[in-house]
Amino acid sequence: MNQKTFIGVVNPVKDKMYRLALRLLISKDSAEDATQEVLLKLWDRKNKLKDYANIEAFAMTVTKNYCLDQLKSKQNNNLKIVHTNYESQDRSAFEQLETNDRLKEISRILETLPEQQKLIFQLRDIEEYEYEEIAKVMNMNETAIRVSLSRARKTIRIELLKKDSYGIK
Amino acid sequence: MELNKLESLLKRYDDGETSLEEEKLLKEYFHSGKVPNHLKEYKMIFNFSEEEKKIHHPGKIKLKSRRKWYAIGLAASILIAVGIFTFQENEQQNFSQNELGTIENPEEAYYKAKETLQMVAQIMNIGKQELVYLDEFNKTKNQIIKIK
Repeated sequence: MNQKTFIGVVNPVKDKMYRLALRLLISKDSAEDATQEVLLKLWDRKNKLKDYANIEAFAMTVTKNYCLDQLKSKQNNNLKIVHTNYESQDRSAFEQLETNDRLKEISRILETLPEQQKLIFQLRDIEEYEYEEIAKVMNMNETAIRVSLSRARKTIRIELLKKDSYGIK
Repeated sequence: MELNKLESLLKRYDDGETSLEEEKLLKEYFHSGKVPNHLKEYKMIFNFSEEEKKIHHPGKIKLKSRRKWYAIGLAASILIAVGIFTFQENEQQNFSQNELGTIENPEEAYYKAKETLQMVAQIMNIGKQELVYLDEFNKTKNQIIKIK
């Protein structure tokens, strides 16, 4: 596999990888770094890559694992703390704009979900993967995925409802 | 879509039982028209999913390992360090080899020295002119803090 075909294969997936990384790592820079690192890893393994039947699912799995490792490692924990500090400072200002920009609300709710639910919501509702594909990426069975997804969807809606009725009731 | 059908679809969506086609139908429905007030959270969620899908990776893919660049950077900095070191070495030798007192005639030497010192003094004065501004600090300070 030469560079051109590799980029051809990987190009349609890289946005999905970036979005997945962004969902987990939150910071744009970290997400970009993560995508870059994972692509390099795949490139280093390009000869084995044709053995993997579904490159997209494989790329997403590697991205997921890389990001989870990043979150576990101390290095990124520092980043994470810095970032949440920043977010919480932003919060009061944000609340004034709340009515204008409700979509960010959902991002914030998503941030509070467990990693597994974040990932599954991302893969299903945003990337529109089949359950079979999600099962491969997450290394879980489909029933467990449905349960986790259902929890995520319900939590998001309930949190939104709470925000809505805040100040009314 | 009729409200009955919609609500049963949403119920199944909540339970994670809808197929991708059904979810697409829902997305289309919530994207297009007016939505009953009690379902507006769903509208937000589906809009959110659509918006998130528009995020793209900002950079280009770089396949060259960064480690190579580290190696090149390291090599370059070693080269520069060695270069500076040898250069300084030469410089020092030149300096000690040059004879310093080249003027034999004492009177000429006196004038030369005087000329040089004059020049230095002039440059010093030009530099000192700029220091006038420092007085402004003192003036302002004295206005605020009065020291007897």
